[in-house]
Amino acid sequence: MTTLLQSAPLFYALVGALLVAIAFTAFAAHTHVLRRLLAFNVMGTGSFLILVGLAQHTRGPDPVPQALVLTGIVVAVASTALALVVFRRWYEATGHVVLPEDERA
Amino acid sequence: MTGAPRDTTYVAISRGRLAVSLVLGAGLAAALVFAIRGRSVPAIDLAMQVDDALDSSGVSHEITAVLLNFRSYDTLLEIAVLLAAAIVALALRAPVAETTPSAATTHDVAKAIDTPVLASLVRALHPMLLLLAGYLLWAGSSKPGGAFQAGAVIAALGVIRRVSGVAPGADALSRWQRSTLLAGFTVFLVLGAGMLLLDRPLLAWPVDLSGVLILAIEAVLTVSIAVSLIGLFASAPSEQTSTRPSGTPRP
Repeated sequence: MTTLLQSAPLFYALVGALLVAIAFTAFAAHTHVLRRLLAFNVMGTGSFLILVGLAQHTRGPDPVPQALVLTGIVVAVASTALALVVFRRWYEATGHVVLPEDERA
Repeated sequence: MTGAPRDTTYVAISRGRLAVSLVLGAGLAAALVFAIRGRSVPAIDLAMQVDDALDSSGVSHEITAVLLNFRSYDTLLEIAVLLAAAIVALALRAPVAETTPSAATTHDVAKAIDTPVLASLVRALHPMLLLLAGYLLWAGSSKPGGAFQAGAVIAALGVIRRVSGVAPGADALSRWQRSTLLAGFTVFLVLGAGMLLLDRPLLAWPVDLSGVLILAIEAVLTVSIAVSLIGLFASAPSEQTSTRPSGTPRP
């Protein structure tokens, strides 16, 4: 276990891995679309932590993964906002908060 | 919200589904930790390459150099994604005829504007947030900051204006705002493609002009990002405009 905690960036990467796993569990368990969207966002944040943490473990601050993550955050914000618009529109139209495929299960 | 009040905040999870999810989540955690343990050191040191090329990028901040020079196609596609999201969101807005006249005006919160405290607060926030956005935009070339941060601050101002009812007819973007949506992507793409006329690769800024070009692109991007985010916020149907049949049966 001590080999896993050699540096702060590696610790961030591991926390990111844990976040991804926890969020994936929530994403698979919940059927409510908003809870799924939240879980998906946490999963994205976890992957950002892995991306930046792993890259900076051996060689220190690296602007390339940081820039990639910044771009990723913008895309995540845009897709989250779009998902919210779609969900609200769908709720407005049908009154449901769960997708039909999940209701059948 | 119309219709019979019912709980739409929580949907029960079946025990079987929870068990399967926990097993899958534990498996994913194990796989990720295993992958991180077995990682290999990349052969190319990107940080050093950025450092070496920083002088030719036109800016002195590494991340801005990567975002708008070395990997500017990422940022070009990023603004394209934002534009696509905003267009889809605007296209999904409920037809005006569907909404009742009272609901179509603006968010219900707008009535709160009668409070003098809120009105003066919103007024005071305007110069402060615009100044902050301008600073962030300018700071991007030498320290943390940049177009997205500045755009997010202006978008926050737009959201404040909408929820406080200062912006009239807040449910849609004006024609002027819709054209600025396109400006960021268009200017970026035209400048990037213009490099081809100078016998340079796509998006490869000439060294002596790169600083000016990056600042110009970031300025236009700021406006487009702000309008995209405001458009995404404004096009979410508000609860007052709900047109679903009341008492929809729940399966």
